[in-house]
Amino acid sequence: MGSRLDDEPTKDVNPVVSEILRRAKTGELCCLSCAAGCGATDYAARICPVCGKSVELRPVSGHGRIHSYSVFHTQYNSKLPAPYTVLLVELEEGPRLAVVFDRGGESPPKVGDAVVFSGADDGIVRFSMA
Amino acid sequence: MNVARKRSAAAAVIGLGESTFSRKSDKTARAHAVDACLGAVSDAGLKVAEIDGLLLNRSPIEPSSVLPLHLKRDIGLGDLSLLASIEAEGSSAIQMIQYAALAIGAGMVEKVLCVFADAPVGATGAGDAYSISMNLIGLDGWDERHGLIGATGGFALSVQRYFHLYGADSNALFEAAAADREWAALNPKAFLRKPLDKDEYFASRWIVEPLRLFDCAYPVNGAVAVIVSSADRATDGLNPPVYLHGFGQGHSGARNFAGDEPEIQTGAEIAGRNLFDGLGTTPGAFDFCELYNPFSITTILALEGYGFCKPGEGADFIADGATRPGGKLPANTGGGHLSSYYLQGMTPVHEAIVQIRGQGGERQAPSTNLGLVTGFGGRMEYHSAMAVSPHRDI
Ligand SMILES: [Zn+2]
Repeated sequence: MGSRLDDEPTKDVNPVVSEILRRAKTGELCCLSCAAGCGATDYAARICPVCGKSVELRPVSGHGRIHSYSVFHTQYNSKLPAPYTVLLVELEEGPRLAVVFDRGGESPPKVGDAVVFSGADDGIVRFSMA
Repeated sequence: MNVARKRSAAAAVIGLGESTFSRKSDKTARAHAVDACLGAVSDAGLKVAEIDGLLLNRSPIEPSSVLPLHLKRDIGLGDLSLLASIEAEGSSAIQMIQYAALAIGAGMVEKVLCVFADAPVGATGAGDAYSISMNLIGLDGWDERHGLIGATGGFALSVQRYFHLYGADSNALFEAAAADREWAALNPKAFLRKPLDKDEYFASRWIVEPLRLFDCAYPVNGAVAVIVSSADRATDGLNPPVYLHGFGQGHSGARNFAGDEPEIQTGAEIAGRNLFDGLGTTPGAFDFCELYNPFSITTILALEGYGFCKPGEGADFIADGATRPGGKLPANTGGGHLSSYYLQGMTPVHEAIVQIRGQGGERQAPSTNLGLVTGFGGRMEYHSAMAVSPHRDI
């Protein structure tokens, strides 16, 4: 598990993950969305839960709110020294995504706080307080 | 009307076996399984040759080689009419018993041995064994990449969400953990029997905040096996039969998407509804329950999900004493996963059998006419439940 994180995103086995990370590195966060126009769906969907058609990646605004969060006190890999905070962000388009909290000296996060996509330079998607 | 339809059980558990439960890396899961299986056969007063079905369940994080079909040879079983490995994470133990009962009812088989075995405790403890990904988001590798590691990480998100929705705090978790410990004090086979002091709880280290050490299951190496038989043949054994009155599975479709709350919308509600509707009864009919509870929060969520109290009221229900020794709904009477031992789905199954047989000693619940036993996998999305009784007709 730890070794996979240090790999380049393009080496991910799942092409959807690779593409999300590749575009996130350029500053564009995407979600899965119905190709026939039903709208955004969750990241676990492989077909549209509404119409059954295929899903594709569509850019999102990068704005969302903290649905939940937790603080890890163990270091599992070199890019995430402990303690670090994982946010479960609900994007304004609806899907929820686990990301790393990019704290810049702000107070600790709270459920419901507005957050914004702040980058993925090292292959880890990070959000900061909006 | 709360009056249950008159019903007669078709199947029963007639044998219970266990290996030694150990915190040392001394035996393989497979060796523990042999001990538990042979124990169950002897507990039932049967000969090995009378077993004609075998169902296996290993930990979902272990490869199939840990508990292979060849276990059949290890315990000297001959020709069988049923043999399979069941894998539905923590809901598997009850699923094994359910499928055994169904197969017996269908005339496939007569005496089915169901066994779970695991040996997560290695030379450096059990932590490594549980540092797995739950794949909550649904993108391969995503959770690990973003540091969302282990079941504890997933359940920590549930806790924080629960706190937010109901205005609860760590005191709620403490109540759930402390209640389990009160029962464990009465169970000579429990591993953590000293009362859980509030200061000690709050001083215990974070595993994944807001979950502390004492919010988490106590893993052991070991195995538990049971034998399921038709109810008609259940009274031939050495121990009182545990009649199986109904089963309910429930697997939640809640998504990580706006409007859904997968942290608290678990499979419990669905499994409970399926079980209670099948029985024609309500949660109020149960005298005690044995809940699958690898984390303190899951006891609270299960009490709410199965309808013993309203959403958000689980911690008060526990704090007020309902589930503690002397309460109206004894729950996790052996100490549960937190304080007795963690052998996944078999921990609650084992304790339910002890209670129905009236072999609970100091921790025996005063009334055990109908008990609820539960199991779950994932982050509570996969649920199984069953209703057990010492009475064939209820
Ligand atoms: Zn669609």
